Parts: sequence; C-alpha cells; structure tokens
Amino acid sequence: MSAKMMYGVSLKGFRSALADSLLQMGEAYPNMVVVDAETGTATNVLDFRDRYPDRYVTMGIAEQAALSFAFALSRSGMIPVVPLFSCFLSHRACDQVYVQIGYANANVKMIGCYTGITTPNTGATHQCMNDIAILRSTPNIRVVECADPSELQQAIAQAMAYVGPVYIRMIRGDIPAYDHPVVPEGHRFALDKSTVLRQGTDISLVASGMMVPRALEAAEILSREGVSAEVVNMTAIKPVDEETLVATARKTGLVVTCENHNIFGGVGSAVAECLCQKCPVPMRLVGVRDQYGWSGELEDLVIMFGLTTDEILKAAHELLTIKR
Amino acid sequence: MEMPRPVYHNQSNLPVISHYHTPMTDEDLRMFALQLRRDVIEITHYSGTKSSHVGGELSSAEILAVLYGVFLNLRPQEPDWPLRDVFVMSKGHCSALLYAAMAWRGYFGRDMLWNEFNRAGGLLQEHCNMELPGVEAATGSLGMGLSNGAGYAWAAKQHQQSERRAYVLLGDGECTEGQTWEGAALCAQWKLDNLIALVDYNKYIISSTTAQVMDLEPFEARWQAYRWHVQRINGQDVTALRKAIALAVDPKTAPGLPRVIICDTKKGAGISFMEQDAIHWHAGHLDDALYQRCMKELGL
Repeated sequence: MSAKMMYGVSLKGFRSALADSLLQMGEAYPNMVVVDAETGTATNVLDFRDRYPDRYVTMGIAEQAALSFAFALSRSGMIPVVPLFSCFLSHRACDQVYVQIGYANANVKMIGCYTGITTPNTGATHQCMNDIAILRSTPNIRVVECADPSELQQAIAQAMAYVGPVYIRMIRGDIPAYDHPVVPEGHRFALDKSTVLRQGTDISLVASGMMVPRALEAAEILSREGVSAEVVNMTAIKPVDEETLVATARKTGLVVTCENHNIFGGVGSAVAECLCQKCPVPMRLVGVRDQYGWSGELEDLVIMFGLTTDEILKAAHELLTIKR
Repeated sequence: MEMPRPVYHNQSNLPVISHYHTPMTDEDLRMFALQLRRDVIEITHYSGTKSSHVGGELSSAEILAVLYGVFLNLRPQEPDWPLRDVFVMSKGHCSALLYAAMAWRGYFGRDMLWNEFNRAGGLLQEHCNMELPGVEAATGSLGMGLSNGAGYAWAAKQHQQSERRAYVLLGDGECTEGQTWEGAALCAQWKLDNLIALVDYNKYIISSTTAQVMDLEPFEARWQAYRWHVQRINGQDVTALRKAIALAVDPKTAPGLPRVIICDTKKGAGISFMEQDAIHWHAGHLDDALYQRCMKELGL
C-alpha cells in the first residue's frame, strides 16, 4: 500500500486501502465512476482522479447534488461510488439517500468515511455518531463496517459485484493502532456474513469496526481471569447475520456489543432487535452514549466517549455477575 | 413491498379528442394539451383519494403535450433503452399529468389511469417513483431533479451520445430549494448543453404567490448569472414552446451552455374557478359536481 502524506499525517491503514481499492476496482469496472463532493483530499480518493480523470467528478461542496447525480449515473450504465464524510452523506444528504438511493434501489456504492470519533481534530460537526441509525432505517440499503484495511478492500470488491445500494462505513485510519491486521489471513468477507474471530463459551463480545481489536484485547484479558469470551466481528449490520448472532447468544447466554457510534440506533440496537426476537439474553451496549463529538487527541476522546477495552471489560463483568 | 395490484373497473366515459401521433401540428398539440387536462381531471376524480396536485398539473399541460408529443425520443416498450431521451419530472407532485402523457406514448394502458392512482398497491402514486417503468427519478421531495438531469446529461456526454437530451421540468416553488441551484451550477460547470430545464412559472408556491413568499425575480438574470442560455415564453402557447425547445435542442445554440426555458403559466390553467382561486387549488379534491363543472369547461 502506498503511504503518502496529507496535512503532515501519513496516509496509511483504511485511507490507503480505500485509495488502492478504488484503483483496482476502476480497472476491473470500466463503468465505475467516483462522485466526490470535495472531501476527496481527506478521504484519499484523488489517486483515482489522477488515473481516471474522465471517471472522477466532483460537485463542489454539494453533497445533496452528489447523491442525486450518482442516482442518475446508476441509470446510465455506470456504477457510481460516492465516498464522502459520513456526516455529510447521512445528515446533509439524508433525504437524497432516502428518496433517490434507497427508495429507487439504485446501484450506488456509498462509502461513509471518518465515522464516529475517528476524526479527532474536527469535533461534533464532523464526527458522525448516527450514520448507522439513519442508513439502517432506510429500506433496500445494505450496511457494512470492517475491522481492518484488508477487510475493507474485500468489502469494496463485494459491494461492486453486488447489484443494489450499499453503505460501507469506515474510520479515518491513519492511527498506528489500527494499522495491524485484525482478521486472520485467508478470511473471506461476505456482505451478509459476520464472523467469529475468537471462540468462547462464557460471554459474547459483538463488535464492529475499530471496536473489534478492543474486543479481542478484552477477550484476552478475560481469558486470564478464567472467562472464555467469544468475539464476533459484526460486519453485516444490515441485514444482520442472524445465524451467527443467534448461535453465539445461544452458546454463551450473554452479549456485549461494542461500537464507535451512538448506542441508540447502531450496532447494539441491531443486535438487540435480532436477539430479543430469536434468542433473548442479557445484554450490555458499549458505545457513544447519546452524545455529540468533541475535538481533541484521539486517545483522550476514546476515553471520554467510553470506547475503550476497559469499558468492554466493565460491561462484561456486570453481565457475568448476573450469570453467577 | 409486495402489495396486490388493486382490481377496479373504472372507465372513462369521455370521447377521446386527441392522442399521440406523429407528426403533430400546433393545432394537434393544442388538442393534445386539452386531452391531457381532461385526463388529469378524470384521474383526480377516479383516484383512490379523489385528489391530485391538480393546479400545477394544469399549468404544465402544454409543456408536457409538446415534450411528449414532439420532442421526446422514447421506446415505451423498452423503457430503459440506452439511447432514449430522459424526462425528469422534478415537480414530482404533478405525477398525474406525467402518467397521462406516458399512457398516450404507450407505456401502459389508459385503464391504469382510472384504477391505480392513489390506491394501495396501485402503480401510479401521487409522487413519481421508480416502480413504474419509464419514470426517470423518484421525485416529490423538491429540488432534486436538476441534479438528476445533470447526471443523465453528463453520462450521455461521457458515452458520446450526442443525440440524447435530458429534460427537467421544475416548478417555480422548488426554485426556492438550495439543491436546485447546486444543480444549476453543476450543469454550467460541465457545459451540459444537452440539458434543457423548463420552469413551470405559474407564480404560486403553496401558501401564496411565489413573489410574496420568496421572490425569484430577476429570474432570467439569476439563470444567466449561473451561465445558462435563457428563454422566457408563454408556457401555455404550444407554438412558442415548440419554437423555444427546438432552439434549445439545437447544439449550435449557445454551445456549452445548459438551457432553461422559463414558461410563464397560470396555476389551474383551463379551469376558470381554479385560475381565479389558485391558492386553494395547489392540490384539490374533485367531487361529482366539481368534476362535471371542470369537464364542462374542458369542452364537454
């Protein structure tokens, strides 16, 4: 992967994976077009512009137009990919996403960049805490989030092969902690499958995106305490992978969900909606507790918003007390 | 959502006075517009809710008559034919008029007009949507159509389909939406001279006159400032419409500039009591008595 600099920060991890993926997909799909709204510098999609200038188009800072425009391209023999800051995609262009992408069941690939608190130097206006809630409640749209850059690349390839609207949620990933591979080598991503990354019998930690490595770390600590924790990488947010969720809940009887998103309407809600109907078990939801974002050092924000391994452990211990 | 299609047997009892054929004279187009008006009144009367957004449909009748009667190159049996012209009804609440025009071009049988409008499971919904083949955008949430048209026109240029045109019909009310002007900027930036916007300038937004609520004037100057080729005509005059659209279609006219035709119209045009009380006829219900009164005014 290419590691270049942007505003003094090295572009590695997710953003680098996005740039490489778009180039690969651009080659595989001559009808792919990237529709931008002037977030391309930050989301790192300008390599695509430079390689395929005829298939990159920017709206200026006009997200609503971007989604409506992309819809029309999808009806003109093209596959539009729209990588935008997730807040501007899901908030500013919410109506366009609802009416012209979801309702129209348009073959548009939306990539929500900079989700949750992972754009630390911006604050509440840019830190999207409820994109999952918005996209998940829009019929027809598939919602996925990936644990590491290699999984993201698979997700983009799968989304391109699938016919219909897809929303891929990704973090700004130029943080060394997120550069490590999380999913095992040979891991096969599928749009409608979540995967068990670690087997366990006492409690399930169901995590998405940047919370997956933290859940794995929590499981490791729990194992030293004699607790066997199962870790599910919840990539399939909509539709949820019921089979995997019900299987893990049935096996352990306790579920902690972990997400870089408001616990209202996000991954925890999706898991609860599934399990309360198919296999009710005691649950705890770790995530942003109905708050707006803040600008600051990322590692401070992670603590401020409770997105830590410690929070996962705290929730797990609470549930384990119930079980005993 | 799978809903069973409704089964009704409403039928029009009115004689057909005009239909789509080619070529059409100006007199043919006037009759076609009158036919579309009658259809709109009938659709409204037979609709599951006995209503439609009738005021803005009547003001656009000549525009649709000239577009569907003369200019739109379509294959109704192959709605997604890649070389078709595209028509986006950005003022998506005026769907009944679009459905009538589509039926005359053969997209579906006219019986659907009387049996499937505003009925659960019916394919003809109050706002245009993609479940009906031949509709080019889900509209009704206003202001989106020009960005859709820009996408279609940009794609046509990319594919070097020089014969294709994208037409967008805007209401004057939705010219108060921000996204309309995002779209206007896009079209100019990419020199989409294959896009023709028509504004049904009937001077009424929902609650009052457009001028009182959010004045669009100087309207021509606004489009010119966005680097558009601008014409302003009487939108109830088929001869003027035909001439203006022909000029806009011609690539030699203002190369590189997107085209807008501002059509001065009357809300409720053709029905005197609606014209005189346009504020109350943005949308309306037509009971039997009103239906008869409308039809009388439309020559029956």
